[in-house]
Amino acid sequence: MALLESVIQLKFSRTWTVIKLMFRSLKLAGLLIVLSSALEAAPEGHLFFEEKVRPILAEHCLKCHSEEKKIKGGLLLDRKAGWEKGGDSGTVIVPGKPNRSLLMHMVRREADYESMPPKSKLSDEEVAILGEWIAKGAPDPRDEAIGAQAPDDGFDLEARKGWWSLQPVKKVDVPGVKNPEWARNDFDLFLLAKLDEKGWKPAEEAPAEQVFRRASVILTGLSPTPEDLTEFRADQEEGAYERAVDRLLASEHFGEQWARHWMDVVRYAETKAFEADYTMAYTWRYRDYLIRAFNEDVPFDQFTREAFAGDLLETSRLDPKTGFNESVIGPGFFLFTDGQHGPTDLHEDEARIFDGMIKTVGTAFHGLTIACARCHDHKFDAITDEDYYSLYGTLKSSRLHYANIAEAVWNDERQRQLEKAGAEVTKATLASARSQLGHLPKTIARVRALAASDELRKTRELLSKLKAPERTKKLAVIRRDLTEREGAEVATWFLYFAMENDQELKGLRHWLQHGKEIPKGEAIGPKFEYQWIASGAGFSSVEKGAFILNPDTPQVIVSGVGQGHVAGNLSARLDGTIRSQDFTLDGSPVEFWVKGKGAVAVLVIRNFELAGAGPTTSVLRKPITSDQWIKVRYPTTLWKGETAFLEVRHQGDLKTHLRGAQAPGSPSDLAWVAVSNSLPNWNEAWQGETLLDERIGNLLSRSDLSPAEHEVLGGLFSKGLLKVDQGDPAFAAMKALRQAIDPPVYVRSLVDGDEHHEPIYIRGNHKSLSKAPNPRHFLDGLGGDRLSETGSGRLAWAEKVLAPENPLTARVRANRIWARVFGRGIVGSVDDFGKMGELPSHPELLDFLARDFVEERWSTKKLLRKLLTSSAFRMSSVPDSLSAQLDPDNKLLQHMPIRRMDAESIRDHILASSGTLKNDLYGRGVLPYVKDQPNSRAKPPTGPLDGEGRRSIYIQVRRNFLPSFLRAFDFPPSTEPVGQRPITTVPAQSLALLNHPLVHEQSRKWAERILKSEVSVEDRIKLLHRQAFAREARADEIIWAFGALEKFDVSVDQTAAWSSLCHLMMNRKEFLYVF
Amino acid sequence: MHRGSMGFGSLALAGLLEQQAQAAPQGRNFQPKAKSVIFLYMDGGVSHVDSFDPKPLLAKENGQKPKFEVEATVFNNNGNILKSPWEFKNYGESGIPVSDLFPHIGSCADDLAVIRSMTAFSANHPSANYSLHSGQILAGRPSMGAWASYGLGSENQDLPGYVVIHGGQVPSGGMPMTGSGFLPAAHQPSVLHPKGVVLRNINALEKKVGLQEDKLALLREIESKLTERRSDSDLINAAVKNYEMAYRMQMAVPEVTDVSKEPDHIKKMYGLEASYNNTRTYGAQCLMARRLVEKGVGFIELTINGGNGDRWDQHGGLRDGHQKNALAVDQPIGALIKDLKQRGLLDSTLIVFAGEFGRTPFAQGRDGRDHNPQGFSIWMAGGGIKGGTIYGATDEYGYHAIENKLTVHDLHANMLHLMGVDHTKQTFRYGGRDVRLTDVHGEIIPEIMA
Repeated sequence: MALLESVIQLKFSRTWTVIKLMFRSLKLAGLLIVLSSALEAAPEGHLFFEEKVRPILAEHCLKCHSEEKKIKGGLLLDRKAGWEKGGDSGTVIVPGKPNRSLLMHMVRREADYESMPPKSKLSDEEVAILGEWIAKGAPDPRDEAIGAQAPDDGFDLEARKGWWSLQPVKKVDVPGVKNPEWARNDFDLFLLAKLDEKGWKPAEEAPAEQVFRRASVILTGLSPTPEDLTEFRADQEEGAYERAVDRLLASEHFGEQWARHWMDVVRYAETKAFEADYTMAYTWRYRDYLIRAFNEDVPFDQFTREAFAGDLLETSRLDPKTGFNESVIGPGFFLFTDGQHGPTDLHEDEARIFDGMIKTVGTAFHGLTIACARCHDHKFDAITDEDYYSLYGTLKSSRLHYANIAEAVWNDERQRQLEKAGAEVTKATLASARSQLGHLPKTIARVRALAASDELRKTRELLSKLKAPERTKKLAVIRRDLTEREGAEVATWFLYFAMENDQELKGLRHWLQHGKEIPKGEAIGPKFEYQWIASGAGFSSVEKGAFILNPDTPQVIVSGVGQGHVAGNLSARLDGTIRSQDFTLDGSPVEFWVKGKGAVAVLVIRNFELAGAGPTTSVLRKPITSDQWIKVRYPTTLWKGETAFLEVRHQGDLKTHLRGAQAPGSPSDLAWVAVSNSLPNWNEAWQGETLLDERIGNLLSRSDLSPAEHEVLGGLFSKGLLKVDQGDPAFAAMKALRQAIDPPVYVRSLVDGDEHHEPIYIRGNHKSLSKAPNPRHFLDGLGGDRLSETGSGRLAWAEKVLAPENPLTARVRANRIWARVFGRGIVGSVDDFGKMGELPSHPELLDFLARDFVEERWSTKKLLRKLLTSSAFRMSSVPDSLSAQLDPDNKLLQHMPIRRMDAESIRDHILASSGTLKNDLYGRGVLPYVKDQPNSRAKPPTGPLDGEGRRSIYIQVRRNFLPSFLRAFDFPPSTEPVGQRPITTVPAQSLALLNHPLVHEQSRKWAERILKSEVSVEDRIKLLHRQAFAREARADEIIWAFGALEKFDVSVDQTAAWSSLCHLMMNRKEFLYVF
Repeated sequence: MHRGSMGFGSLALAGLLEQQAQAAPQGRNFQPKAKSVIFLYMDGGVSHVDSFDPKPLLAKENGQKPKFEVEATVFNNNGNILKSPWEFKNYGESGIPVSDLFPHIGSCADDLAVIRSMTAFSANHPSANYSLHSGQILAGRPSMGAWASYGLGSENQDLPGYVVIHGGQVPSGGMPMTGSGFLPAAHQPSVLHPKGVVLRNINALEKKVGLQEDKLALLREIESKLTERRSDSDLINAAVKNYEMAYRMQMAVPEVTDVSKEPDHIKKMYGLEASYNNTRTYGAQCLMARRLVEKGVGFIELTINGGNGDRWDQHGGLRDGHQKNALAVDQPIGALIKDLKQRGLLDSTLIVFAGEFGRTPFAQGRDGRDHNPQGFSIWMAGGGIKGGTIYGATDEYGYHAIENKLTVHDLHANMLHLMGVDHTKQTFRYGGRDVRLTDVHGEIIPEIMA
């Protein structure tokens, strides 16, 4: 039955006011009865509603908030039950409390609230009426229940799970074909079968050298050199081409080329864009990791596991050359994030950054656009917003960590040896100090005498008037005079007594002043309850006290730590970071105890990594340089309600976010740090003996020192009050062990934090969280299993990605490889296997390929070898005219496509031709050439025009300063994942090849090289063609080149003429296109 | 098939390339009001309460603690209410009030539609800049100029369809904010410089006269054999043809950007003879913009060269900084409007004057203003705009937009609309979505349309 919507005018007996009433969902028969009873019994509040409120709702609200029309934001305003239930944003009306009612904030169009109604604005009078109504308790006679049909967003998960790419990978048989002789392997048969269906023939086989150049560019990104060509020609045996492919696969340059492909997919960049374009330290090591991984043909399942959870694997993969940890570098791909240094809302910033990570994860490994489910369930695919926030929870449970990959060569045995050496050194240090205590009673007596004299007051006064440099100078003079007069020990003790006021040795000063021990007193300072979790070999926990040892300093014992956690106590090269649990900021300051040298303590709010750089967050990063405990204190009023954790990095002096050409610096051999939740009562350490020297002698001879005694003794050594003679062999032994430790080598990676489950953000709004919990789970479209692992759940996620029943992973990866070889994927949209993507051109082939890939243990090289040795790959690029007409996109692969080299290959080929290209692999990137880009504060100094002759992959990828030459040839913006670069053909490319200074410079170098290497003009021309095109020059080309040289006045200036000819060669299509 | 041009004009061929299927112009959805757009980007954020949105209450409560709740700001160093150091005058028949910062622009008041209810998505420069350009607070998204180029190509075969005339100050967030993002690189802007080399790679480096022409002739000779042999390949043919277009650009760009041959009274009008260096630079930029409009260039953005070495970002020293920045741009912009008008081009040229946000009505420190994304003013003039209009309003302090609140999506929707493009229909498939410049938002504002 149709619903009734009508406007009825009634004369109301008491006021004769005309009331406009709007009724929905009522049958006509019931209408008058309901009406009359409602009006007869109408309490005053209901009259107010009918008279004043209902017309406002009808005019302004019901168009979007009624069961009849639309239910925007999940909110119904056409009945009392509707607003009582509230909408997606929660309760909208709090009866009696207009100022706490969301509705009022919205109609008043207050800042930070969505304005309602969106298009029109209520008059002040109308707003006042709504306020008055709510103040009256929001009386509302409309008592219809909410309709049976709940708001339906049309998302049917089961139906969507029927999409082809989510179906299991089928086991398919190879098809029969008319001419099986053509095929060299099974893949060929699938392609041929499709051509058979159309009645087309595959293109002829291309000349062998042409196929060789193709293979070389695809596998290594480099055109064959004349030497490569000679080698290829020399092999005249059966299987020569296959052997050439094997050589290319074994080339170190293979890794460079295939690493770069993956860098596109994970949006590799070294800087953070935004205002300062900060360099993220160590990012380039991820690039090197990729190069090694592809060269070693790390199976893609292992590669995937490392990407998600390389830091969590039970067994790490090690670099066979260095023994360093490879696996832990994998998660670095998450962290190619951009970033600004002064966001006003850190939660909003986190949501933006995580969105980029989720987009990358979805694209790279799943071939799915998970990021489309940020504001609502996916519009087309089987992806829920729960999936999106499940991944969000996973990311939120992970923390940025600068991992030390050199730590992999450290082991328990070496640790044990070092600890033993440390114990020996401690023993020897205490013994040495004890043996030199003989003078102490005299020294103490003299210092006390001086203290009682005027000398103490005068010295203090004198020094207090001076500032830093003068003060230090003056102090040295005083020390020298005192040493001359009183001897070194008295001078040291007296100046300590005069100048220092540390807490730990308060008891000492008390004793020097008063001649007796300090009263025991109470424990000092507040206690905290942080649960510290250490990452890295550097940190160890201290329960009964420890010394920070450094035999490279005269005092050896640098500090004493009663309890807590220390790093750098045996060697600064054993690095680490320690972090607290997550907590919610309540607006009051966050405090904790720390001491150390060269360390840094950061309050990390919402995973914000640029703390310290921007105006408001500079208070969140504190360098730690103090050998006495300090209470670090962070004000947090700006971030009330946000989650945060404390982080202390031992090698904190190393810069993590750099400007321009800055480098992070080298790890310090002097660094150490200690954190603690509480401090010992140092006064305890002074109780016992009646004489100070006896008390100290006691401390030096005991092996059961208390925490407080460790700290006090540490203080006495660090101030130089006790002397150490390093004659004992224990010192040299420890030094040798320390020296043998590899200095830290850092990469950006992750560690697990506390387990988080993120609720849904309603319509993507981080200020509007759903109340229902959203436990972490794998993608709903792929089963939606709960991931019950603690911590981040990244490893569990990786296993789901690699599970045999997951049909996407192998398909997506094998298709990417296919696309790189044949110019387009079997699924053309290599990054999107969802409904907005393309359907596979050869579905059976795709499944066959995916299965084969997995059966061959996820080997990239094996798959590539098969593809490159197929008959299909050897086809000519000349199409059959019929197929060209009917299949202009060449989806059925009737012929090989002509391809333009990637931007990097074009530049590399220019450098290779001119002889400038270096073969070096790896290392920190070269600064890009930016002279042709506008100046700004964030602009780095320019790199050399020729990039030091390095391959393009070694040019730093700086988001705000991408190399213009590469960008002209479709180098990606490097902010979002790109599985397949668009190939554009625009005049800007011609202009770059005609007029870019790099091209001119390299033309000249090429000319000089040619002139040096051959004598006859004809031989030179032939060499030129071999270098440029990896083939012999044709007769007409030789004639043309002769003519060109003449035109360029070769007799006048040989080098200039040849430069011009070389310039022309770079501009010939064959230079950068592969046929 | 619509044969406009792709980027620099290679549509016909490029359209045939499979991977570039989406590079071809989408075309117009209806008759455009504006054939060209000049976007005057006021980098740093012009203070609206000191320019186009007078607030007498600020003078009254000057020096008092704000009586309203203050939102988080970038520096969190918020002071008391600060009155405007400038007086406002009512200009023209419309009587639109404009402060003494902008007398020349004020004199064009009857051509302006001042929008006083603009809002920004972020209080930070880079995010706000990114979203002003692309609608998203993300780096690396396609800019409005790239979208315009993608939609409309270029009218002129020898000139790019999308040009940025760079004043010298790189906006916070970097030049890539004007870039093409995930749209094909054909829609990258050509960044022109009023001084020095006008466009990267546009000048032949051959010193010898005629050498480049010789090279091109030789290249044509040898490549013609290739194109004969491979007439099947559009890719190769397009790449070869590009050289002719590149050569024509090489001629056309320096010609169109050379303002030295303009008559003296025009140069004077634009401030090319002004004593202040930045006025001369911006004047040259505006004059270049007019010349590009005459040649049919579709989208032109001007960045500024800040006075004091800084953009409109006066966290301190508001009076000095704003005065200098206004001195640089006011006369040239006034001249641009009048000059286009006298040439009959204003009706078909849309001018947009906008910063990434406004500034707070209360002081930062003693004499500056912090960023205010909650409400600020921009203006539009020319093609399809109803002059003499004021649209929207902020509250009595100028802190929040309260009437007809607009976002950058609305701005972009209206700009595209005037260019003849339905912003809901111009899409590009990316990341599994048919992405729009305006995302899923954007409303057309009939009140500002002529």
